[in-house]
Amino acid sequence: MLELDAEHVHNLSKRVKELSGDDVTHCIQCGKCSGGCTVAPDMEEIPSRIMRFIQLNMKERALTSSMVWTCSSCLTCTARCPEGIDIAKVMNVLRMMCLAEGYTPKEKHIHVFNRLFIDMIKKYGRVYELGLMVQNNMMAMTPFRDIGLLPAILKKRKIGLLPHKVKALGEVKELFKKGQTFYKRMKVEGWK
Amino acid sequence: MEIGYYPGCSLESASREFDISLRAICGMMNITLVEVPDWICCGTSPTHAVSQELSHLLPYKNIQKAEMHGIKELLIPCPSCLYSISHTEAACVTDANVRQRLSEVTGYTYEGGLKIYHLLDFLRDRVTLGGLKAMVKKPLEGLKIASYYGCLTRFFPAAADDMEQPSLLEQIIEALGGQPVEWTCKVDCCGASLSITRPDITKRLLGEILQSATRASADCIAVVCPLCQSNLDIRQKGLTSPSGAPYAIPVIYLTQLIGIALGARSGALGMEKLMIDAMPLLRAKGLL
Amino acid sequence: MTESSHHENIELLTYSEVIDVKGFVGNFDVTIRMRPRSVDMSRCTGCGDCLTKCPAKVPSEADQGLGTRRAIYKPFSNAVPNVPVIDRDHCIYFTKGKCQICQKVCKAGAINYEQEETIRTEKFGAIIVATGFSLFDISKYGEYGGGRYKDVITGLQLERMIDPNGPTGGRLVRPSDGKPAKSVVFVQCVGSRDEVKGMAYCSKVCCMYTAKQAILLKDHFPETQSYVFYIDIRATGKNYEEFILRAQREYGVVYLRGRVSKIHDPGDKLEVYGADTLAGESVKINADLVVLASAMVPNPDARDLARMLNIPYDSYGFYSEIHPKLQPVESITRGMFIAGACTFPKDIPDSVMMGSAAAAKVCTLFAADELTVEPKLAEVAVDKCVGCFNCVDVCPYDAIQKDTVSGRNVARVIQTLCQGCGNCASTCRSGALDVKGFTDKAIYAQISAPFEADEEEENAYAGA
Ligand SMILES: Cc1cc2nc3c(=O)[nH]c(=O)nc-3n(C[C@H](O)[C@H](O)[C@H](O)COP(=O)(O)OP(=O)(O)OC[C@H]3O[C@@H](n4cnc5c(N)ncnc54)[C@H](O)[C@@H]3O)c2cc1C
Ligand code: SF4
Ligand code: SF4
Ligand code: SF4
Repeated sequence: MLELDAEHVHNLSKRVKELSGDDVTHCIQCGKCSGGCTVAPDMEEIPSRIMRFIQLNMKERALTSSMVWTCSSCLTCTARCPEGIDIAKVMNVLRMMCLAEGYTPKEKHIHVFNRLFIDMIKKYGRVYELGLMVQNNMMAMTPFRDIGLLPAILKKRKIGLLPHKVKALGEVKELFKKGQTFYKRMKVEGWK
Repeated sequence: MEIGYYPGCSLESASREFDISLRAICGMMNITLVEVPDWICCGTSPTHAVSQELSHLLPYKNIQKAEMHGIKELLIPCPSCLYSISHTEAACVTDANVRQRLSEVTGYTYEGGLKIYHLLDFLRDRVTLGGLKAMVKKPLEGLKIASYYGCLTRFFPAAADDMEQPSLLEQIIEALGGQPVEWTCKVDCCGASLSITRPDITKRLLGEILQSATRASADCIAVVCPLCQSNLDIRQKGLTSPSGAPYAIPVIYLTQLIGIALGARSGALGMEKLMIDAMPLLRAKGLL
Repeated sequence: MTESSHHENIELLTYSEVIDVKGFVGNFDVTIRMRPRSVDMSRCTGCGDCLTKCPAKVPSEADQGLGTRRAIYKPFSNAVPNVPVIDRDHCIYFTKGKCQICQKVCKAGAINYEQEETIRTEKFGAIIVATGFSLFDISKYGEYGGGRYKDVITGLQLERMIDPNGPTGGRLVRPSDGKPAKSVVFVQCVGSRDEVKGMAYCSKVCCMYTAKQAILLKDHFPETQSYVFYIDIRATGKNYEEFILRAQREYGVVYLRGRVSKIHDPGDKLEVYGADTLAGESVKINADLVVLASAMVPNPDARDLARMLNIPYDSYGFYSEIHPKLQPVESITRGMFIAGACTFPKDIPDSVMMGSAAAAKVCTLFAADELTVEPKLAEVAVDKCVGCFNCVDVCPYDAIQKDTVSGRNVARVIQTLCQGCGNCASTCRSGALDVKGFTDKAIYAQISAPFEADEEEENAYAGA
């Protein structure tokens, strides 16, 4: 059962507003975001319900939901919300909060993919698609997924075998070092 | 005309033909592309999901590199890169907090003033539709084209007329002599970002898009996004229409279509890199 | 309508428009432009022969573009008066100089191409403004086709379609191919309750008329299935809630609590994508016809009219009453009343109520021999007035007139118009204008009083 108390009921919506600038209390629960959502037909929760979780301070449900993690960031919802809420951005903020607060997302492999992607930028300065695919498959324990596509892709020389590296890699490393990843900085006030 | 150019990771690897064909048509139109020297990845959606700071820093670094190279106008063909970079550019101009923090970390202050173009804006505002039309040597006559914007392009001035029913791509296709078809999925998301993590969803989305293009009797799909192209092209194999017929709709970059209309050789446009061969179609229409 | 047109005390001026209003309560000088109908009202028998013979076809405004009318036409079948009018912009004789078929077929000889516009000015004691509303332009909703999908229509178009005298003769069909519509999706709140693309407010009537339409469809065409996408149902009138429940329980209308996000038109059945937030699911419905409950908005010329009549309006352009609870049909200009949907979206019962109230207010006004006015009125000290007339420009009620007193130009306040706002008093540089009860002298005295009191008190303490 959902228990509400006056002291905490606005906590989550306030935090989301601080981080994204979007006031989810404005959501009128019309469901337009859900009706056009790219991934909602395959999800248990729909975007408008995530907004409701935020309104009612249902933190764990909001932060760990598959919907939040599967969102494709297509911004269709954002384009149509009658209240002007940037729902896609709110989804991103929820993902960051999820990690910062030590929750385990339901779609862990999506997070793993994101990390691999970012690590690759850190290492090479650019993204190297073949490596990304292989590594992701290893991490997801599905080493042979998409393997059927590979020969043709390689034949067309669409994907390089070796990564492109940028010259000023030092600069990139510096960015990663100085600009600490968000969830370490979340506790620091003032940065949006 | 000279214009700054940020290719981004996709155009450098899996979508090389986008880069090749863009360079080819720019050459034909007397446009010099000045590549941002030693550009880095813009970070795109994964960074937006992990770190707001990083999601600004990577684009910012590229803005810095462009500015230091004297670039005042920047063409970013990949809508995903464009979204990241113009998002940060706008944040620097409107949000003093962001600006201050970014200049603190990088030691460089961006003062604003960089003009960023989507491919479609660039064609409309700098090349102009009239200008493009005048250069056409081989009109794409009889070619029925489904113009696919994808999900992000509608957020740029390119779709300013109507986010939900944009028409610029169709106008360009008409200028090339092609025949845009009315179809339903032009701003729908293709799910490229989920193609590795949730291929089941991507498959559903691709099915809807391909079915819609087929229903509209399109010969091919014109795209302006490397992620849409790879997704629709590479993963089309194995997908079938509700009646069970396998799909084989060529997914062609707008830049390639322009190249053909301007009379470029197909080899110069990277046509051979498309997974679904577009040559038979183009030959059948007498365009090669 | 017909009744009022026959009433001995009512003169109905149709095809005419108020172009200027001067004066004040009891003494309005109203200038009316009488547009040339090109048909002689005294001769026309209303037989309608001309209506079918005219070769010029124009999309019908009354049928919301679903049908056509001729260049000589009656706006709708039971229009009052029962006399047609020639639309000169589309008449072949007026545009090309040839045709005159209507003149040939009219047995009464009522057609008169030479009629000219006339302007008349008359005195009226009071004015009731009941100019109604317009519909929100659905082209802003590209996700619903923005008006380009033929089978996506507005609620008003559906009203026309189910009218036996309407463009389809009362048949429920898909405008695209004329085939009967079986699966009908209603979309509520299109342009209402949308701060980004439309209006923030609720249009109040669409929940109810949608239920009415869904019931009618089932009644007339039992094979139809209706779906209604709603955010929440606004059914707060007498028997309204029961009516909604009847639609659901007796007529099997399926209500889905969610907003439609997009409509695809692949050429056959429309695909409607929405959500049902109660089930927590996204929903797709294949529909023959989609009906958008587009918002009620002020007329495009509402603001211009308000400025001419000197009545205030809100940020949307709806006309404002003096007090929403206690003086709901009175505008701030004395003798000028407002009623119906020009003040805010409302249904027929509410509009009729307001109209009746406004009429009663006028009767009360006319029944009295004297007018009671608020005592705080502006007053000109004629000896001080230098005749600069700055006050005339700043008075929002046009209550100050130029006058001459013993050969001198001076300002004069019309007491029935003045609302005592004090704009003139603060503008007048020669100190000739004051509001009774709020003279400069009195205000200064009030300002200095506390300070004087302080001094006295201080002195008192000092003395203690
Ligand atoms: C699709 C639809 C269905 C509806 N169904 C119902 C229903 O079933 N039941 C219900 O109770 N309500 C219904 N309504 C609401 C109903 O239409 C309104 O309540 C009602 O029309 C308001 O009446 P009104 O006289 O204030 O305005 P209107 O009906 O708009 O009348 C205003 C009149 O003023 C005229 N006018 C405007 N400007 C000028 C001018 N400057 N000079 C001279 N004349 C002018 C206009 O031409 C118009 O004839 C429905 C509304 C819609 C949109
Ligand atoms: S579209 Fe906006 S207002 Fe409607 S449910 Fe979604 S977030 Fe809430
Ligand atoms: S951005 Fe995410 S939540 Fe919004 S429509 Fe796209 S997939 Fe759904
Ligand atoms: S009356 Fe109903 S349909 Fe109309 S705007 Fe209000 S809630 Fe929406």
